[in-house]
Amino acid sequence: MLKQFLIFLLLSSFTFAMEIKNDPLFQELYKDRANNKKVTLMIYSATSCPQCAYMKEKVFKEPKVAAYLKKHFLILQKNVQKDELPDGFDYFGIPTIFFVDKDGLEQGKFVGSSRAEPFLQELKNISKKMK
Amino acid sequence: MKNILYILLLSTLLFAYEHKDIERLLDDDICNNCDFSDANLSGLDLSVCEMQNSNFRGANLSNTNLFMSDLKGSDFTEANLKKAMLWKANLSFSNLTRVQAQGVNLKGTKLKNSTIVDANLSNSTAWKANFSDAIIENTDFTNSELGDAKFQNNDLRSSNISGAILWKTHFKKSKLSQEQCSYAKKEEAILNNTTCQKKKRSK
Repeated sequence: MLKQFLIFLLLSSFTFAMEIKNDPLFQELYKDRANNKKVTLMIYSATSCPQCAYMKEKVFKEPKVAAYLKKHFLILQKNVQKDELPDGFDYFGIPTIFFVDKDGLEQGKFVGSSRAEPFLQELKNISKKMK
Repeated sequence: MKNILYILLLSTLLFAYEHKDIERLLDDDICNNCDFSDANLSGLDLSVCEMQNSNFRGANLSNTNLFMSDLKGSDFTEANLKKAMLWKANLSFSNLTRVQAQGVNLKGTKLKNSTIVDANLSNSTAWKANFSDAIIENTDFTNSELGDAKFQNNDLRSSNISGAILWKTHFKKSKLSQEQCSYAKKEEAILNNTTCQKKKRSK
């Protein structure tokens, strides 16, 4: 019974979502034409998730990662308790990090946490893939 | 279809455990005090099941989904738990002696008063796991994610925590080696009434 309820909860979280291209926050990121070559890093997280906090407070702020993010990425934060994921995006567990191009297409996904160095490599791989 | 799958599964299993216990579990999601010793339960979805005080000695639980399952007081001696999903499961008072659990997911898992001896938990994800009052000896936590996990009344001196993420990990009334203490502080762990002593020799 509980299993069915959990599945229902998961499915219900996918309803009423809109396309990311219609998301005002996403549109705002690409208002500046200079950002057109940048990739959006959309992190789906929760306030009560220590793993999410580690990524945001520790890994994203590590000097090399921070510099690389600033140069190549735009950050979009979504909260699992407040925000629906846009149409076509799904997740199992948080944090989930989606890499999205300016046309709103998912180009990659990173689930969970990692140390700064392997995460930086992940960012470099995504940047390389999208060139 | 479901019945055919059950028959196939049952026919491939060894005979150390009770067949009726597997049937009971798959039918009702409840099987307390059951015998799954040496059973091959690899890859099965056993999430949100109740299996307290059960025998999993030597069982293959690799890649098994045990999300939110209640396994309190169960015996996992020499079980294979590689990449098993034990997110928010209850493993309090359980025996994890000599388990092979590389890459296991222990996020938010209750491990209070468990026995973790000669176990391999390397590369595991154990954010917010609770290890309070567990007996931990000679266990490999190398490169594991132990952020925000709780260690209380534990002696970790004979275990290996090198490379582990210890961000905001709570060590209370515990014993660490001097080397482990330096590493934990560098990792921004929170040490409270925890002593930094000489390394305990592993048996």
